[in-house]
Amino acid sequence: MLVIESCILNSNLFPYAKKIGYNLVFSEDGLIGIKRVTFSVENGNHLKKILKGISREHMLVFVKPLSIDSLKYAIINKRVNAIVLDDENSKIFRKTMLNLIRTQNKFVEVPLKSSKALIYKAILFSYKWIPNVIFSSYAKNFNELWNPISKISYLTILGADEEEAYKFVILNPIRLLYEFNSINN
Amino acid sequence: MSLIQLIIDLILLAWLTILTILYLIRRQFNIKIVKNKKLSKAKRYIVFYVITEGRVNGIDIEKGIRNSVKELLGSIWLDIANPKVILYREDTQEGIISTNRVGYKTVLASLPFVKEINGNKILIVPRRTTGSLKRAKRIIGLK
Repeated sequence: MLVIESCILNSNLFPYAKKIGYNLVFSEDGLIGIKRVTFSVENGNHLKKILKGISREHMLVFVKPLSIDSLKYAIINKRVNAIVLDDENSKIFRKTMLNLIRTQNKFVEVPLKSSKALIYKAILFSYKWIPNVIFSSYAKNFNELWNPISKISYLTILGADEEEAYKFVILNPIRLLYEFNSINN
Repeated sequence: MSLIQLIIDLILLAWLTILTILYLIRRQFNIKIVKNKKLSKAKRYIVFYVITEGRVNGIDIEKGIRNSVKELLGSIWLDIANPKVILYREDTQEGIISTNRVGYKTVLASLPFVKEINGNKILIVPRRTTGSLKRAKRIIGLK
């Protein structure tokens, strides 16, 4: 079965990721697995400039918006594969934006390093607005990696159903990969 | 004779009335009787292996796990789950944690929070959860 870790910051961690049960990783340096890039953007124009600058090669584009304007633009833009939600930008995810995410069927990524309150909030969002939530470990060292069983148990403790937790950890990264491949091919 | 019969009939009537009242009270308050209390106390054994740079022993791993459970869900859940490393093989870096059916998910969720033991970076990975110690021992290669 294909199990994907949706964010590691260091490709040297791939052997460890493989050992703990993942087959594929999305890595920030792109040496192993599928390359992904994450941009923190202040406003819509900033994001436009960044997206013009990057070539249309095989890489996943994750955007961490820091304002409502940039969030709106990131949701609408097809080049952006997923939006990052963390403690820094959680306040801009308001009802209207969440409805927009739902209508655009956008992926939202939540780092597991975030506070428990935010993860709980993301689980609540997923029931009402965002069906495509991904939880990533953002690991720099091998001891920061999360194995899939612990991820599912952690999300279950924080209020998700087991089926939903399985969807967040196993199915949604596969769907993201599938969408990415279908756009590129 | 008829007086004795009348007394027996009255006793039977009173007994049946009491039974009916008790039955109705129980239905009204929807009292559920736990048929098997042992189920919640049933043991679970988590087979795990360790990825680390240096050497660690079972006692330190248990301390780390207990601290991380406490950090994640507090001392109440630590008492409920009561995780103990009952077996640790330093040669293969595999071991068994004993817990119970109520708390095993807490233990599984708290394993990634154990990041360092005695200055060594560590990653504890659960391999399988089982209800029988015999099977858990067989998984790590002990008979």
